[in-house]
Amino acid sequence: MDNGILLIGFDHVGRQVNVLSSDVLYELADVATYEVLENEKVKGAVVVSLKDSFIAGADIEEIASISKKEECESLVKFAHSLFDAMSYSPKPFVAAIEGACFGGGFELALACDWRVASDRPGTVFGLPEVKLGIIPGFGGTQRLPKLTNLDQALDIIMTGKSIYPYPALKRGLIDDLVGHSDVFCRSIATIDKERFVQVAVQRAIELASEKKLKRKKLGLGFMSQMSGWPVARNFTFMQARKLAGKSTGGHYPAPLEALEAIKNGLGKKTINGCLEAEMPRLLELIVSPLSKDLIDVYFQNEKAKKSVVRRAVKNGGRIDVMGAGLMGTQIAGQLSAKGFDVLLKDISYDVLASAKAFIEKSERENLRKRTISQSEFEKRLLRVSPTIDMKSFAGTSFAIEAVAENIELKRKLLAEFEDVALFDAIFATNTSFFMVSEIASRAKHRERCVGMHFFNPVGKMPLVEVVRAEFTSQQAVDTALWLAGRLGKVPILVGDGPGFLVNRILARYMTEALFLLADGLTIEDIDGAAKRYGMAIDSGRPMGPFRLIDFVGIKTAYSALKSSKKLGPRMNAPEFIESVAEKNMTFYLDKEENPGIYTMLTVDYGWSRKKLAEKEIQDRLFLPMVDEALRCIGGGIISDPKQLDLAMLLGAGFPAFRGGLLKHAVRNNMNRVHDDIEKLAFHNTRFWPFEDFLAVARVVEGYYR
Amino acid sequence: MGKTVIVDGFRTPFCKAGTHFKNIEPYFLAAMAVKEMTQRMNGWGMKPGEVDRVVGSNVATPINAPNIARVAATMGGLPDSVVADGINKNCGSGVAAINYGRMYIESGQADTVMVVGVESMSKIVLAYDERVKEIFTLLSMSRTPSEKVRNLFRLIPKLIRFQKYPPQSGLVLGLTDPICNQIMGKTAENIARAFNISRQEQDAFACRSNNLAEQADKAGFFKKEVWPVFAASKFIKHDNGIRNSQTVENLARLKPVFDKKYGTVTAGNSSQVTDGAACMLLMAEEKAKAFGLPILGRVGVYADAGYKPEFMGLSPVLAIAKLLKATGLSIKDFPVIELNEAFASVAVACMMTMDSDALMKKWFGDYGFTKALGRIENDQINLNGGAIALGHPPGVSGLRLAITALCELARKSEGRPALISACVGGGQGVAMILERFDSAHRKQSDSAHQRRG
Repeated sequence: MDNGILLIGFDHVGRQVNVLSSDVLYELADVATYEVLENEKVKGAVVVSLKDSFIAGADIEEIASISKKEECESLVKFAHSLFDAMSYSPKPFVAAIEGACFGGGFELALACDWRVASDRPGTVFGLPEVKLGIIPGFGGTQRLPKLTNLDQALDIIMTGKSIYPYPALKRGLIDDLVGHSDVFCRSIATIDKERFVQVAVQRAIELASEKKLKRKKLGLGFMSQMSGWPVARNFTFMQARKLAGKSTGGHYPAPLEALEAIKNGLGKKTINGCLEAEMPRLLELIVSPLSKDLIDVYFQNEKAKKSVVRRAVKNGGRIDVMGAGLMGTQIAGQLSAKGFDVLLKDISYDVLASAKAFIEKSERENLRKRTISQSEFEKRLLRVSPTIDMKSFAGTSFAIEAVAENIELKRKLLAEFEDVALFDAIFATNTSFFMVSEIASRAKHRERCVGMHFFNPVGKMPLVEVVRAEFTSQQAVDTALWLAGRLGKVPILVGDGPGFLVNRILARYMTEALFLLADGLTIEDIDGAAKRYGMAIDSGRPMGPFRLIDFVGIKTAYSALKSSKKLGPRMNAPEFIESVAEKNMTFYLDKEENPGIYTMLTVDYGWSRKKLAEKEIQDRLFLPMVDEALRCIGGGIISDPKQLDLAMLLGAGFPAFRGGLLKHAVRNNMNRVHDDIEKLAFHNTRFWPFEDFLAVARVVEGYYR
Repeated sequence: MGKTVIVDGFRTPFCKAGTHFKNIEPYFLAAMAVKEMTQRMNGWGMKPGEVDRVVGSNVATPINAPNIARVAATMGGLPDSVVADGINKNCGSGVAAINYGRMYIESGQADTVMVVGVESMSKIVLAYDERVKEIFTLLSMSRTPSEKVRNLFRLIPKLIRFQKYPPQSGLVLGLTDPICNQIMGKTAENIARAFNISRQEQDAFACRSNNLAEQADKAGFFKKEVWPVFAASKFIKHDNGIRNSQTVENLARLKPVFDKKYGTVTAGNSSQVTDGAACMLLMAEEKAKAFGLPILGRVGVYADAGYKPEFMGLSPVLAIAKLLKATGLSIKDFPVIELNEAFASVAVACMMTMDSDALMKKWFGDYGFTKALGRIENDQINLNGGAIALGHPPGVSGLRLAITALCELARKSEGRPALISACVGGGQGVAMILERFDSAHRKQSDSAHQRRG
């Protein structure tokens, strides 16, 4: 450009987003050296993306393919030298950021002298490497603590969380935040007209001139400022370590390694810090099987999200929800938050009132946190229209049923729905106890019925099981998948059967936990063993089976167990659960175990305290799950074991660091697992493995080879 | 005539100001009503985009949404392309808005018009004294720190001295007519005095209104017209202004408000200060028939009239007189008459005047009406109570009269038309005929046409 500023535009051909693969890095190096540093006409450079997002990070496929340290080492070294040259060059580099800026892309921006961001929605910053079991590798652990306060840097790197533009400005991750306008077509010819790029160019000129720009003061408190002082540093690290220990349970090394890298890099020159503190740790982690597992999970997740067909719901985008109970309310709230009009039906205004109050409360919380504006808040409330009249469903095209779990009620509702609805309106049932075919048994148009099993709490649980019964039409399935995707959920398509997939496998786990309790173990023993195995660790709230039962409610859990009895005697839970459910007891009273459970067990069922090795408890809890998972595959509930693993991970909290339920079993050798299960079966026939166990296991092994 | 039909109409419950709706922004209340109407339209297979325009009816313009109809329409889920504007004719706004919508339809400029009325008297602002306001302006315009400090010190003492610089209630200001510089209650006192309407007469009328409203509510008559609204964590299904088992003795205990010593107008025999909203869908008759919609009624002849501001309460008589003259109908032809009860004295005076040649001549001789219009019987007027019991949100009352009248006609399965009328602050009156839309009635209306012809 005339003013001596060079625009470096990223546009990764053939991809939806820009990634920093090795080719891109080499090209960037060429441009930076020959066009900027050695060209006398150029006074500075602005790095910008020609796509919707800035740079979404390193090329994850490339990371996944790395198997030896040496392959990676040269690339990382090269990147370090490039970034170092950029940040120490006399000519200024300015990053103009709009859209997602993650991982390597963010590290590139950190290496620039100045960062200008646009406030368009979708602009997010973050170093999510720890989520993939690695640490930031292009100097992120070294440069970020120098830009912001130590506690903030630790928080961002060790959790891998996303930071939105305004907080990013406050934390000093960016230096300028510019208003945005929508751009329909972006090209290198027109991008310099865009506001945020203009500001970036202006900053580059200012930086190149004599006048030196001063960075803004961080908008953070004094305590945060103090956290980086040499005296307080050790305390800050200790706190962070404690926090990480709690959330990872010692199963994920990456956050702690990142912490060490930051700690060792403090006080060193950036390039030395990168090479000495960061790189060895990265190389260690990048070849570890744990990181490969996490990357695989990431790919499965992306695949499940992308498999969704694009389509639109007729009828002005209205989705109808029947039943304003716990699930119905949450689903309605989610739908309205994603911009759907919702007609929420129940039989009484009292129920609807509490549903509306619930939605209002949760949205008010969002308003308070300023994640939504006042008008968005009002629009979200307005989108949920309550009704008690079935006739309102006349024009509907998609209805989700979430009434109480009562088969007759559901059938009646479906019949009423069919009376008023259009012939091609889709009826999605959010049942967890009944099969879609049971509910649809008397339907006029069976092909409209599909299952959409949401998990509680709907806002937090990312999984939706979309259930296809044999008669379900493709259109119904596609629409349900699409809707789940639009809600930001991961849809997994499963076949119709009691408990569908996740609940069916979980039922074995729950049943066995109850048997262990009946056999003389304590609640604490069993929950502890499950927690140490890693159950629900990825949600940040490790949880054993009894905590889980308390969480979903004993009545619900009991009905779920009862409904899965259809699958055979292996699902029969011990008798005492019936009395627990009748008395509506919980296994925990706040933090303590409920002594009433033991009293009841001792008096009525002759319970006496016994002990078992933790390994044995874990075997009894988790081996039946493998057996049940193979039954699901053998029975055609789901075909891809990788999808099954993903569903268990997202829906049941199976720990990601184990790779997945079946992957873990394959790694432990399926034959051995089979033998172990048979050994258990000598004590009690309920463990008896599925007759085609080994045959199905062979198929599963094929997927993981 | 007879080309515009009312497809559907409903209102929210009327809640006294400062009760259930006090925290709801008026535009939000209206948007909820629009939303409900679009959901009903959806049920009939109509898309929201089929509404051509929205006519708003609102009197106390909210400061944060001056064109409240537009805000309500867009937030309520109508497409951005639907235009919206508003009518403000004080208490006559609702009726005028129906007429305005009808004019669009009958002139061929629109097929479908949504009329939305809303009033939140809880949300009317408090106005600062002019002198204080001036300093506020100065403060916001001051540039140097010393100027700021100086103005701040001028402001603070004035803020503290309420007595000398009193903040003014927007509600009182709004209810005061600047033409005659009298608050509406004063004009009601004028009428009570001029017609010698005693306190007992007024209280008896107020008591009747309350008792009828109570009966209607208990019998579920309002279920058809009232749409439950979610507010303050529950669904509000009933009007909360109705004073159950009201007696004349109870009313007699109240003190007069507007003329504290010798007055007769009390809180008990005046209409209430109320929040509420209403929505109505107007459509060209052929279109509504083609869609096979459930039609509530048909918009008939409209008339309005200007009268003396200080006797604004009498103006409905003039409007009705004009209407009857234009149509050739008489009072007896209307089985249902909804006359807005701004004050009991006003309603009583109107009925007295209409029934008497002498009074007509005295009050309306100058306007060309000297004959009595006819006697309004007890079984014709305000059969389910009126504004004294239910409340009088000025922008919504006109719509309520129309919806209530049509629902009452339907309940009586009456073929003859209904008459609605309201007095308007500032000395105007509005009146409108509403007809039921069914085959039985069509003959009746034809015969009316013939009679007129």
